[in-house]
Amino acid sequence: MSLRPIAPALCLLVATLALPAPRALADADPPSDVLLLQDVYYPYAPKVSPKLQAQLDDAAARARRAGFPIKVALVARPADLGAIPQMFGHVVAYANLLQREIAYLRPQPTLAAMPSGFGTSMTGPRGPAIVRRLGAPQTADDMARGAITAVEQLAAANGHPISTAGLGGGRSGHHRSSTPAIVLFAPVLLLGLAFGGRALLGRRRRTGDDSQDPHTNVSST
Amino acid sequence: MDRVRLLAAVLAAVVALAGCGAGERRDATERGAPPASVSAARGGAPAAQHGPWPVALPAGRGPAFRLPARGAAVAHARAVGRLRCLADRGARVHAHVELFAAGLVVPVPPGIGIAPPLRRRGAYVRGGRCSYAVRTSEPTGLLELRRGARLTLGDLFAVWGQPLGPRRLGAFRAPVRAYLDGRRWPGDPRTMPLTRRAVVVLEVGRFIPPHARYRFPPIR
Repeated sequence: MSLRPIAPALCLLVATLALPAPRALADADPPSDVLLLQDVYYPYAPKVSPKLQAQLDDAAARARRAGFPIKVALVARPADLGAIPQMFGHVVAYANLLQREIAYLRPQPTLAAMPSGFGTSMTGPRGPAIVRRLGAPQTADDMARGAITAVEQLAAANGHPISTAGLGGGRSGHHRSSTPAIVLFAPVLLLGLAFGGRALLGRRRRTGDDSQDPHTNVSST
Repeated sequence: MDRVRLLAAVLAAVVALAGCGAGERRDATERGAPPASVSAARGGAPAAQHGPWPVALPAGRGPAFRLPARGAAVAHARAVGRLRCLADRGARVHAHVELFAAGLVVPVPPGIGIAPPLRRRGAYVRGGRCSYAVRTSEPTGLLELRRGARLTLGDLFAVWGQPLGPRRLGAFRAPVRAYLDGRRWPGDPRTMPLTRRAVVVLEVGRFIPPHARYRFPPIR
């Protein structure tokens, strides 16, 4: 059997099959439009409480003033993604997509939240560990609380710490006590260690037992 | 005869391999495969397991891409053709419109069809003096249509104060491709009906695969 008559058609068929299928293009996701005009996108439903909205807006504004202009998208339902609802539940991929949609001239730090968890893009090497600790939010208000914590910690991790004054009042759950506890107890702990070390050093000097302390040996020469 | 077979086989293999290579590049750079700096707590499954991801398409910059929300008639709450500015609080239904020019997004501003003074909250317009049968209150392309009104895409652009025609889309002069629910609209785009849950895409320049569906939010 001769293949000559069908060779061109065969080549055309193979070439057609090898072409990539048309892909849906983004843009028609509401967060990418809203975040061009403000720093935080809130879901259509369920609503985030006005108090938490104010706190998250404030955290993002403080981060921007500190030199870390992060954009935050809270995605509660597929309707928040408009024409690309297939991205719902894939918070990593969506954070990455969103970052590329809204970035202009330079990388745009971006945080996305979904019921499945938090995802970041262009937030530095410590970003993954920071959002991993937040877990999966159960409600829209949980998303906002987690986002407030994430914004504070991501800003600090990128060398732009923001003041948390005025942000603590509305927080609840396990996010509330983590940073304040460190702030309160760290100086006390350091003072205790300093006094303890000094007392121990003085006792050793008095007893003349320096054989186990290399620092003392160095200083004595 | 053998040479013909051999030639066909080689050509087929080359084309197939070229296609495979293109697909791999797309996986790595366009389909949303997260780079090293992207992180997630949970739910970040590899893109390859869930079919093709959308491609990021940024908004254009410059005056041609930043169209004001209203023209002179709406600024003074005057009638636009048969459409009047009413202080209605009646039910509305949704449609969606996307605009592309030169392969970039042309944002649809909030406040189309709403007469000043506007009540703004961030990126949203929460109200104004009065509004028309077609309006926008957010910058997402979501249209709010007065229930029962017989509207066309031409009405939207008339209220917006932007030109639309077979060869004109806002500031862009080029053949306009119009799509309704993913299907090409033949003829003048101004005649396209705006109905509940219509998904409209208008393009000039580079072809952008149009969306056929949109997940609409609940009516406020």
